[in-house]
Amino acid sequence: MTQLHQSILSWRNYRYLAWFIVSVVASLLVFVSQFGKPLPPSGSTWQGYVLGTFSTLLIIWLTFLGLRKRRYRSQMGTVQGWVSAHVYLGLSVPIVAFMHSAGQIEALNIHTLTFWFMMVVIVSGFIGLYAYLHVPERMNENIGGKNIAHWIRELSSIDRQLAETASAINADCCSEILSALDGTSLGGSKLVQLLGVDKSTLFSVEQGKVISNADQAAIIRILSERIPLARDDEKLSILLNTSFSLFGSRQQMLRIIRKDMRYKSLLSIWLHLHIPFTVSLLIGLMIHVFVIFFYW
Amino acid sequence: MQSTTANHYELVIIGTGPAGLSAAGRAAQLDLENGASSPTYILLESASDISSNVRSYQKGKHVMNEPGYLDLRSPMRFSSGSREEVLGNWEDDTARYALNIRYDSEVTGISGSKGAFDIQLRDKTPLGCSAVVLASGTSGNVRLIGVENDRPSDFVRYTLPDPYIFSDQVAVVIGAGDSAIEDALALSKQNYVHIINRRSEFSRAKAGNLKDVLNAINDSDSRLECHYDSSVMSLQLPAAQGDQGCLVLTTPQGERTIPCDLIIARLGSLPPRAFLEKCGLTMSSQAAGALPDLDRQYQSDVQGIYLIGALSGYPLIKQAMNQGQDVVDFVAGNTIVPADHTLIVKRLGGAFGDKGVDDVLDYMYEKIPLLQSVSPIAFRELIIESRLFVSGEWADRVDKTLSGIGAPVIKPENSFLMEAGLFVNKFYIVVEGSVSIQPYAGAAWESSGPGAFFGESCLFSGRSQASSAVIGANSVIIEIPRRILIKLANSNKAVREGVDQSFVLGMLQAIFKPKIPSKNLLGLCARLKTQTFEAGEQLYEENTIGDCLYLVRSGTINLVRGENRKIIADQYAGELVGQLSLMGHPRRHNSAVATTRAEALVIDAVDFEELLHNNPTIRKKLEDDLSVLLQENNSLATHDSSAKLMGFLMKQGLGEATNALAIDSSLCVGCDNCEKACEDTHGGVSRLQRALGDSLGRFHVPTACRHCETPHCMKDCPPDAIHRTPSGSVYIADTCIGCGNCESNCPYNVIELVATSEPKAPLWSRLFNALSPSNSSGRAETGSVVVKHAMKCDACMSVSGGPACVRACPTGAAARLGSEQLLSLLEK
Ligand SMILES: Cc1cc2nc3c(=O)[nH]c(=O)nc-3n(C[C@H](O)[C@H](O)[C@H](O)COP(=O)(O)OP(=O)(O)OC[C@H]3O[C@@H](n4cnc5c(N)ncnc54)[C@H](O)[C@@H]3O)c2cc1C
Ligand code: HEM
Ligand code: SF4
Ligand code: SF4
Ligand code: SF4
Repeated sequence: MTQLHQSILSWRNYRYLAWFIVSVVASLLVFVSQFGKPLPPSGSTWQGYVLGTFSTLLIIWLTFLGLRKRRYRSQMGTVQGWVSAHVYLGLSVPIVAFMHSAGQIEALNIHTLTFWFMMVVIVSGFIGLYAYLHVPERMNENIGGKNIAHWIRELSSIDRQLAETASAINADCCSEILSALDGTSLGGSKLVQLLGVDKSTLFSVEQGKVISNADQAAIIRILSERIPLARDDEKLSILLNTSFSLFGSRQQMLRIIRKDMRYKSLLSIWLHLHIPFTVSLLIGLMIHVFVIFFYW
Repeated sequence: MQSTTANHYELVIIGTGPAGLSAAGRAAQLDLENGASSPTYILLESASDISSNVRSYQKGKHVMNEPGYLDLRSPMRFSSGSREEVLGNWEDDTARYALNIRYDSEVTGISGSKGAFDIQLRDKTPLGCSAVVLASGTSGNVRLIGVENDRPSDFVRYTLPDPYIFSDQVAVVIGAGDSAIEDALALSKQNYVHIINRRSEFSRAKAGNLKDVLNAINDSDSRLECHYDSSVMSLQLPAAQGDQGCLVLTTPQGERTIPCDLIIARLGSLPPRAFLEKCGLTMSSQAAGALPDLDRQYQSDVQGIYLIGALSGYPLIKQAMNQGQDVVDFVAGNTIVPADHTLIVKRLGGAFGDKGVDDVLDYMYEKIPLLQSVSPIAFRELIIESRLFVSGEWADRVDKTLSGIGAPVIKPENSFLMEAGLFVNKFYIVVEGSVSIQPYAGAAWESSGPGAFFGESCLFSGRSQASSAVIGANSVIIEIPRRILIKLANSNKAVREGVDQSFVLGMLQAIFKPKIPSKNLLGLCARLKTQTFEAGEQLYEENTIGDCLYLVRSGTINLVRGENRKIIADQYAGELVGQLSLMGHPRRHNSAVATTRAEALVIDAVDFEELLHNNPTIRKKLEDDLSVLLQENNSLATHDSSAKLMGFLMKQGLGEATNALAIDSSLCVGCDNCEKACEDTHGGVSRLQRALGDSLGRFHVPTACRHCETPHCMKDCPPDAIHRTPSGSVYIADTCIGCGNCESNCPYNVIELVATSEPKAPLWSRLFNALSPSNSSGRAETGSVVVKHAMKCDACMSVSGGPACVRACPTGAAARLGSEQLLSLLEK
């Protein structure tokens, strides 16, 4: 399958990789032509102006992806093609911009600030690219080619079985199981999801207080401690063993769901840097250009 | 004529649908004109209200008065409006004419003959009449529960126009079909629901419904409980208004009583066939939807019994009402010009000069041997629904002031009627002059005269057209829509066989090119039998000795090999299966399995040998084709998982798809840009649902139209609103009346009935709407008039640049593909 389902990097036989190489090489030639001249390389040689203009145009064009993405009727290529070009030309921006500045980015002023804004956009872009390229496959592996709704349904069916089993066990253990079910926490803010923080709790009868049940570890430990004690009571032993193995599956399922949430947030959280810093970058860039032309 | 006595009427009209009401209204008018002292007619209705069928529409449904080009001719009023308005008008008019109606009077049969019919009523009251107008519709009689107290009431219901008027009640739904499931799911949103299934599974339900109902039953939070293997023993009505009644079940665990507020029985209906046969009528064919043949005055083969409305094959309200008025005049012997007369005049457009309409119809009829056994009324309908293409002198006579829908289309000599490679949804018959056909690209053009027909191959196989056709000099050609041809073919054996033979001949010619003269193939053609295979059924088994080969007519056949049934090829309409074993390798090297419902022609080894023997060039060509196929096979056979994946894709309908959306989950970042793009380009309603639909491995097939080769959704659309573009995209036109037939006919659940939204509001107001809590989704709230239309993916036919969903996907995960590309998916 050559046409269907192609990755953004290899799009149209690496067309934009070629563009990337051409623009970097051309910029390099321009940059190198400054050496051996009376003035040292900087932003204010004619070469500096050419490189500066080029990187400004690139940045403006890169920003247009945000617009093109939402122009669903647009016939200007496909969004995939745009993203492919965006990634490769985005990659050339730091190189071109760095040559434009000729490395003069030590001082802290609006000009260097703009440069660092740009770097944040670019680094977050890399994170995004990494996520786009690798996360979907893992996400799909994690949920085993099923819908996430499928796992949530499985989880709730296990919960129902556990609640039923628990009701037949003695009061202490039953309340612990039920509190573990109740105290399970999933989701939360994007950051919590990304880090996979597990705030699940349960009420431990032995300790008389609420303790952490992250990764269902506490309840599994409690059950595993009780099983040997119930050796003589066959009925109880079966119930405990059942609960134990159900919690084992529950742990697996929660891991799958948590991982899925984590992947999902990974796929979008970088945009929370990429977009705001694009805006800051544009503003910085405007000021930078304005200052250069009127006050320098 | 006999006079009217207490138990004898001139005319009995059966059914108070739009057709029956209109007929009764006309009969009442005539009585008034003739000064009759008491009604000479009686209108019988099995329900206790008029128009049970229209009454069963969803509450608030917008009833449409399609077709727009036809004027209403009826004493009763009808214009588009809500279901309540339409019924209200009919109720008023019923009172105004003081129609002589007898309710709760189900007719179970008719005996006798013209002038002296006996009408059998369920309650055994004797009733006689001179003539009968049957207007009982095709929806049949609903099946009752079959226990005491099962008559329709507020407690026991057989339809559920609006599930959302109930809340916090206990409802019991009886039945396991799609309508039962849909009602149960809708009710369970606001009520506690028991669903009673006679069997241990929901075997009749569509895949989508099945999944939903099983999820709901297994979901601890849902309020839906299912009783399997259970049947109704008895029921008790509520003692007083507001009390609960109850339902008693026999279950595997014993008897069980369920107290409840509401019972909805969805047990389907008895199709009218048995009833019509009990009335002595002959069906035009064995096909499931067949109806009796009628003459131009709607009279059946039993003189004195007339059929109108849905029963006469006309599926819309306005047509039914016009027929209702006309038929009463026909029965009374009045000479009238039928309501659709002007339509035919327009269709002919003066091309036939001053000849009267009936004369022209007779003349055309004579010219077309294929239609010789078609009933006059069916021929009339055919002309009304068709268009004429005219050239030369015929074109000169056409009244040029006529334009728009239905007027003759003037074509220059030698212009295309049909082009190879495109999809056509029409069937053409030559009436005058000639047509030239090129059977396949590169072949010689052949000219045929009056009576010749073409276009059937695309209609039957669902594949794009292989042949091209151009109009000759001085010619008249009828262009018939798919629906009408299918209807004719279903009801008329001669049409079915005639068209079928031509279809088969065309396929044989395409296979055996360079061509054997068609007369040499005719004999073979007549001997071929069509065999139908259900999805999953096997045509033949590996390692058996082959004694025949198959020519696929429609659907897809997989060739599989070895223990793990690796797929080595899939064959489509017009392709051969099993030829290898007849070409020097008697043992079958693979098994052939139908992956969709498929039809194939069986060609006997002896016949095949004879063909090859007489035509050595053909053997060479077939051998070449075969070696290409084998090379393709080889690359596939190395893939182990391909059989499983193929099975999955076939189940998802990709085997019959011309253009289906497939997402590669290993590229999809879940941004939903595809849905947003669809929404944006389609009036705010996305035609695809990415997260829904099934997956296997990395392949995900979202809920979106597949643009099937033979679209199931087209099967039963009353206003014929589902069409297909030349490139094969299936779309629904604005003439959709929102009846929901296509929604239930589509096996992939991609059609949704959506309240048509207002034009998209400007961005700022949408922003504000998004902030305010009120509903801004464009779906009308219950209670108001609901104008619903069937909506589905139209392959972005009106968006330049092609499928917006695909073009909007940032990572290239979304792709649209046809069945030919399936194999390449497997290679990945
Ligand atoms: C959901 C839906 C929406 C639709 N929307 C539209 C629309 O918007 N516009 C439009 O033009 N068409 C619409 N249609 C089609 C339209 O309903 C039918 O074409 C029309 O009702 C046919 O009228 P009829 O009089 O032939 O039969 P019906 O309307 O079916 O009436 C038959 C009557 O006969 C009675 N009956 C049946 N058998 C017996 C018997 N044995 N003894 C006594 N009485 C009997 C029935 O109870 C019924 O009242 C829609 C159909 C459906 C299902
Ligand atoms: C200065 C340079 C850059 C600017 C101004 C910029 C700007 C943008 C903007 C405005 C968007 C649209 C976000 C949206 O509307 O959802 C975007 C998306 C994106 N950018 Fe950048 N970007 C830059 C560099 C990069 C780089 C270097 C990479 C990767 C190496 C990158 C990768 C992406 C990706 C993967 C997307 C998401 C596309 C999508 O989901 O449609 N960007 N960028
Ligand atoms: S709506 Fe359904 S039946 Fe019709 S073409 Fe699309 S997938 Fe096929
Ligand atoms: S092809 Fe067009 S109409 Fe169909 S799902 Fe994609 S965007 Fe929607
Ligand atoms: S647009 Fe592409 S990546 Fe986004 S959800 Fe749709 S298929 Fe997945």
